[in-house]
Amino acid sequence: MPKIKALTARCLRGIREATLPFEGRSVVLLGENGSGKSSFVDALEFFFTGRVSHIEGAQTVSTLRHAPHIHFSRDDAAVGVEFDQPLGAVFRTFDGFPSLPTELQQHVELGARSTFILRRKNLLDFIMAQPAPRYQQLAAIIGVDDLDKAERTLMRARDDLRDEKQSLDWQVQEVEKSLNELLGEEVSTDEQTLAALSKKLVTLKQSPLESFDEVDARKVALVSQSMSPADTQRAVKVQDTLNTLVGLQSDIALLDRHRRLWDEVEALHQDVERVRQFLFQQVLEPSRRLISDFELDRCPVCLQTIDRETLLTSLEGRIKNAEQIAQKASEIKGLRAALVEQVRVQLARVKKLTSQLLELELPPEARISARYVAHMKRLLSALEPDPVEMRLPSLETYIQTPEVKTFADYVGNLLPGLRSEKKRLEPTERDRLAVETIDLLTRVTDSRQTLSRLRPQRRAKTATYREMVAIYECFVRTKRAEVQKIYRDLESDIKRFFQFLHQGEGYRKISLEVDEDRRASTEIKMSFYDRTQEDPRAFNSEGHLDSLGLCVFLAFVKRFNPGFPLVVLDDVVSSIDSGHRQHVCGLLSEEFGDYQLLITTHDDIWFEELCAHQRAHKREHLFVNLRILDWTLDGGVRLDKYKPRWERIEEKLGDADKTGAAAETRKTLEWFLYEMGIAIGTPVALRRDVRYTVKDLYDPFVRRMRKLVSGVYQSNIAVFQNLEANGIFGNLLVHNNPRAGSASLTEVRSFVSAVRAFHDLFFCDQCGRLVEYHRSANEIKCRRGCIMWETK
Amino acid sequence: MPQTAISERIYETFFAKLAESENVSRETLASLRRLYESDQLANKQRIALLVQEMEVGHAKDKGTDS
Repeated sequence: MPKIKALTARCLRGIREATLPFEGRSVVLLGENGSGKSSFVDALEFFFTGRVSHIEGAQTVSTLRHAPHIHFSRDDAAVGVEFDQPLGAVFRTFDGFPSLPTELQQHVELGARSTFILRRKNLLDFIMAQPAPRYQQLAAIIGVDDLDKAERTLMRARDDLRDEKQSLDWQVQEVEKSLNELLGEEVSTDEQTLAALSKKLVTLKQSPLESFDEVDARKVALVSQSMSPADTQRAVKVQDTLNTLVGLQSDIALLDRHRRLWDEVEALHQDVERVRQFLFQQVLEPSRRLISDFELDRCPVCLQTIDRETLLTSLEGRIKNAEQIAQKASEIKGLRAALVEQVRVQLARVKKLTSQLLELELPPEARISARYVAHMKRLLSALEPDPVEMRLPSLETYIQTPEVKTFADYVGNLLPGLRSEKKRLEPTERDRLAVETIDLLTRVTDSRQTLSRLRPQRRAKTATYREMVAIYECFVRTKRAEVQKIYRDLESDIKRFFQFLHQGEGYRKISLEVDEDRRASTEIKMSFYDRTQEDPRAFNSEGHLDSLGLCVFLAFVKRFNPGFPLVVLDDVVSSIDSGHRQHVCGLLSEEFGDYQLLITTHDDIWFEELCAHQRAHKREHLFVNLRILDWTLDGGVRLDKYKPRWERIEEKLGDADKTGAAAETRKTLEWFLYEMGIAIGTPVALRRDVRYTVKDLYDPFVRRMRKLVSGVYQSNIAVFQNLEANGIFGNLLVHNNPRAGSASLTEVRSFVSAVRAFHDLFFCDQCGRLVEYHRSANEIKCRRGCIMWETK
Repeated sequence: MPQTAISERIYETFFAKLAESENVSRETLASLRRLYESDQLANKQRIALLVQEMEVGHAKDKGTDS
C-alpha cells in the first residue's frame, strides 16, 4: 500500500509554506488551538479532493475564496504529497493536477472517493444531534451527504409540479362545472357534450347536431332565419355581454371563496417567532457552520462571549422549525395558485366587457374598470412574495373597498339596460329561441375549446408529476435502503470497537436505524445492561458518545476504504478520559496497525499518552511525533520533533526559562496526581468544575498511599518530603506571582527534580504506564508487573 | 460525479431500480443519468429544464391517461 513520505502546503489556510515529514510513517501532531494543525488536515483533503469540505456548504464561505492563505490568491495555493516509490511526488493547485502517471492517478482518485478524515466538529455535531441532523452528520462521516442535495432538488421539483398540476386541475374543474351547468348534465367527453348539447337544442325547438363542425353553419342559419341580421347579431352581442356581466358580478365576491388562504397565511404569521426563524434560514445554516467549524466562543459581530454548545443546540432547533414552516408555505402556494388563476379570469372578463360595450356602441366607464383592475392587480402583487413574506391586508379590505363597490354598482347598473335591450331585440318567440340557441352554441364551443387546450396540458403535467414522484420515491427508497445496508455492515465493527474502548462496561448491542417515515433521519439504539435498544444519550457521558462517533467512523473506514489505508483524526478525543484514551491507542494499534495515521491534538497529555503507548509497544519506529512550536499569520507554523516531557523541561532550564519549566512541571504534577488519584482510588472532595489543584489532590493521595502501602511510603519518604519542600516554587512561578522573578534557576531546578522523582516512583519505563491498584489482588502494580507492591 | 465510492454505489443502485420502473421513461432516465454524470443532479435549473423536457414528451404522448 502506498504511504505518504511528506505533505507540503503552500499558501493554504494558515500555512505559508510548511512540510509535514511523514517519512512513510504515521504522524502525531500536537499544537494549541489556532496553531495551524488543522491546516495540514485541510491540505491533505484539498490534495485528494480539491476541496476543504468544512468550509463548504454555507453561502458565506467556500474553498475557492477561503482555502488560500489570507495574504495570497488561489493561484499561489498548492499542496504537494510525496508518496513512496513508485508513485513519486506531485502538487495539486486550484487548477488541478498536472498529467499524472496512471498508478498515481488511480491512487488520487481512490482518495477522492474515500472518507478518511474525522474532524472534531463531526463528533460534536453527532453527539448533539436529533435524528435528522444526526443523519446529516453520519452522512458526512460516511460520505453520502451529496445525495441529500440531489434529493432536496428532486423534492422541490416534485412539489412545484404538484402545485402547477393543482392549478390546472382547478382551471379544468371550473370550466367543466360551468359547461355542466350550461348543459344541465355532467359531460366529460366530446361525444357526451355533443349529445347533451343536442338534447338542449331540442328543448330550444332546434334540430340536434351531428357534429361540432356544424356549429358555425347553424349559427349563420339561425341568424338568417330570424329577424334582421343586424338585430340578430346585436342580440347575440348583447347576450354575450350579459354573460360577461353575470360572470363578473358572480365573481366580484370571488375572494370569499378563498378565505382559507387568508386563514392559513394568518396562522403562519401568528407564530411570529417561527416565521422570523424561517426568514433567517439563509443565515442560520451558515451561522451554525461558522460557530461549529471555527469553534467560535465569541459572536463574530458583537464580540460578546457565547455559550457555543447551547447556541448550536438552539440553532439546530431553529433550523428544524424553518423546515416545518417551509412545508406550510408550500401548502399556501397551492391555495395562492388557485386564487391567482381566478383573479386573472376576472381581469380578462373586465377587458372583454370593455370591447363588448364598444361593439354595442355603449361607452364604457373606463375609469371605474381601470380602478377595479388596479385594485385586483394590487392583490396579485400582494400575493407575489413567498408565503412567509406575504403581508396580506385583511380579506375585507379587498372586498369592501370603493373600487369593488363602484365596479359592482357599475356592473349592476349595466345589467337592467342590457336586459331590456335584449328584450327589445326578442320580438318573437322564434327569435328569442334563436338568440338563446346562438348563445348556447357559442358558450359550449368556447368551453370546449378551453377544455381542449387545458386538458392536454393537465394530462402532460399529471404524467410528468407522476414520473417525478416515481423518481423521487425511488431515490429516497434506494438511499434509505442502501444507507441502512451500510449501517448493518458497520454494526458488528462498531460494537466490537466500542466494546474494546469500554471493556466490561455492559454494552451489548449498538444499532443504527434509518427512520422509514422521515426523509433523512437516523436513530441510534444501544443495549446497556438490562436496558434494550435505547437512545444512547439516555445513559452515556459526552465522552462515551464521542467515542461512539469515533467507532462509527473507524468502522466505516475499515469496511469501505480498502486500498486506501489513510486515517486522519483531527482533534477528536478531547472529551474522552485518560483510561479510555489508552484503549483508543490500543484500538488504533490493533485494528489500524497497517494504516498510516495523522492524529492531531491540542491536548499535550493525550499526545504524551500516544507517545508512551508507542514506546511501551515498541512501535516508535512507526510514528513521527511532532509539535507545533508556534504560529504566526506571516510566518506560518514552526514544527519540532517530539521530545519526552522531562527532556523538554530540561531544555527550558538550559535556556534559563524558569517560568516555562515550572509551568510545565506543575502541569505534569497536576495531571499525575489526578491520574494516580484515580488509579489507586483516592477519595477526593468533588469539585463542580472538575478542576483540581495540587493542593486538592496531594494530601488525600498521600493519605491513601500510607493506608495502602505504608512500607513503600516509608522507604520513599524522602521523595515525598522533597516534593513538599519544593512545591512552593511551582506555585510561585506558574501563577504570575510578582515574587516569581526572585526564584533562582537553582530553586526551579530543585522543584523539577522533586516532581520528576515523585513521578518516576510510580511510573514504569518498561510498560510506559503508571501503576494501578488492583483491589481483588491486593496489589498496586504496573501492567506487566515490573513494579508490584502488596497492599494492606 | 459523486463525492465518494459509497454515494456512487447508491446512485448506481438508484439508476438500476429506476430502469425497472414502469413509471419512468427511457428518455427521462437517460437525461437523469447525463445530469448525474455531469454532477448536475442537485442543480435546480438543470432539473427544471429536465422537467420541461419531460412535459414536452408527455404532451406528445397522446395516449397518456389523465
